[in-house]
Amino acid sequence: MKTGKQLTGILALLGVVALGGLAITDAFAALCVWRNPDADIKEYFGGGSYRTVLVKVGSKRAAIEKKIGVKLDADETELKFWPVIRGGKRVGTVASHLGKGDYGAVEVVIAIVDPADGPAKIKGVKIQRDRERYRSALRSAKFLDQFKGKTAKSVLEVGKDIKLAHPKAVRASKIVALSVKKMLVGYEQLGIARR
Amino acid sequence: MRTPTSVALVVPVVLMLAGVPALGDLSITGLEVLPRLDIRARGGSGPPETLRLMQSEINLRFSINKDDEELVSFALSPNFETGMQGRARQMHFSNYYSVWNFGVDKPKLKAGQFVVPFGAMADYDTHPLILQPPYARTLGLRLDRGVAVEGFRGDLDWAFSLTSGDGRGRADSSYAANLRVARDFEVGDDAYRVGLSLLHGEQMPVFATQPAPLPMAKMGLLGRADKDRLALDLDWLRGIDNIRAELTFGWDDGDFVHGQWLSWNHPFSYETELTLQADRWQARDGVSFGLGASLHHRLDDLSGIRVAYEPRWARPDWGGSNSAGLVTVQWYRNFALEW
Repeated sequence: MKTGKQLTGILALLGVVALGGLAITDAFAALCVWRNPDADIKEYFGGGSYRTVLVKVGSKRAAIEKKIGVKLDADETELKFWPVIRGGKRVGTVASHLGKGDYGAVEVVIAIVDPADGPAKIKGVKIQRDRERYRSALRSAKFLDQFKGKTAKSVLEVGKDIKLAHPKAVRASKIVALSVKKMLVGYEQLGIARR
Repeated sequence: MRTPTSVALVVPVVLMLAGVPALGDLSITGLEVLPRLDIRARGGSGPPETLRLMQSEINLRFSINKDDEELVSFALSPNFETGMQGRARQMHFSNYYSVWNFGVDKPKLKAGQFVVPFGAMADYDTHPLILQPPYARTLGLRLDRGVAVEGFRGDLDWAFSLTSGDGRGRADSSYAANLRVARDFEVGDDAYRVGLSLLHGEQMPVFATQPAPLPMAKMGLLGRADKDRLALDLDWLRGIDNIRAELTFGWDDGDFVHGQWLSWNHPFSYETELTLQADRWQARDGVSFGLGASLHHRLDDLSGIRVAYEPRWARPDWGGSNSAGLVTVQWYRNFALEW
């Protein structure tokens, strides 16, 4: 093994970090890519443009965790949103979240709107990728339409205001509900509407 | 890096920083800095036993916006050290590209150094994996420099790329032009993605038929050839199993070549998965084929280990045969930075 060269490679990596005054942490932002922005914007908002907003959870972590009822994953130090603009006016925001399903990641896309006369609410939810056994039930309108109109104050819990996608898809259904709740609460707590 | 990679990446940033009045509303958002370490121990019959730092890289992603609209996004992956050598190294390192956004419903322009959108590798990112699809044999390259236009029409995704055809910049006028179309289907709980790729390239690299999965330093170019390729690729989610396949055939300077690749991935849980694959390639100078098995286990959200075994065989036309059995153990860890 060329020990010298290997160590140089590792040290170079750490050096870049140190020069930037950065600190490596064990945290890894579970940032989920948004795979089909053009198609999703057209579906939810009839078209428009978007930009990326990456917001550190920071001091809002405790407040978010209290509202969603569980701790954020250790790797959720930042949340990603995409404000959508159409005709010079902000028409909504898209968020994506990666949850841990039974057999792989469950990637959820959430469209949020901010009506003038009320709190932010869900316009639509879709699954962009998953490895679950009951995929068609998880992606069905019957299951996903339950999230429409929900706000950060909604319970958003399977067994309470959300029914299972399939009797055997308990974990996957809960993952989707938690993803929606997490991003909606994060949207509110981090002031995404103003960003 | 040389033009057009440098131009594609540097010019817009310089213009913004220079404060050109017309571009004064530009901002940078979505900055992600994601270092990654990948260390592998390799042994078996054929190659010498090694313990190497395979990837010591930083993945940078950010966007430049004008007012509320994303104009361009960047993906840069500088790598500091790797045990890969020669053309294998060029096939893996590194992505350096920008994606220009002209509005929803309009095609996007990708410029820089990126994975050629041909066959299975258009959608299947194998950079961090041990087992690789057979791009080293079917095309002779994976990353290449140039431009691509990507869009969708109804349910059809399409991509057209025009690159150097050599996996790097080149001084002559040779090129590789590639068109791929792909479509998603759902049948019950199964999901399918089917792609069709057509490529024509001039003076593309050709490697000798040999058992190694990737051409390392000692395995130089056999030569160059004008290549025509047609590939059908399939990505099939059958319940929880992911089956991928690619059928490729074409001509190297008029000589018929063809091959097949099949991969099956089965997750036992979120943390543990098994991948099996088989491939065969009939080249002008012989036939090579191989099998692969890889077991992956996530240790936590940031790190994991993989163990893989790849027996491979090659039968050159000039006679004889040779084989290799590669055993690889990989440990990787991702990091994030806070400031």
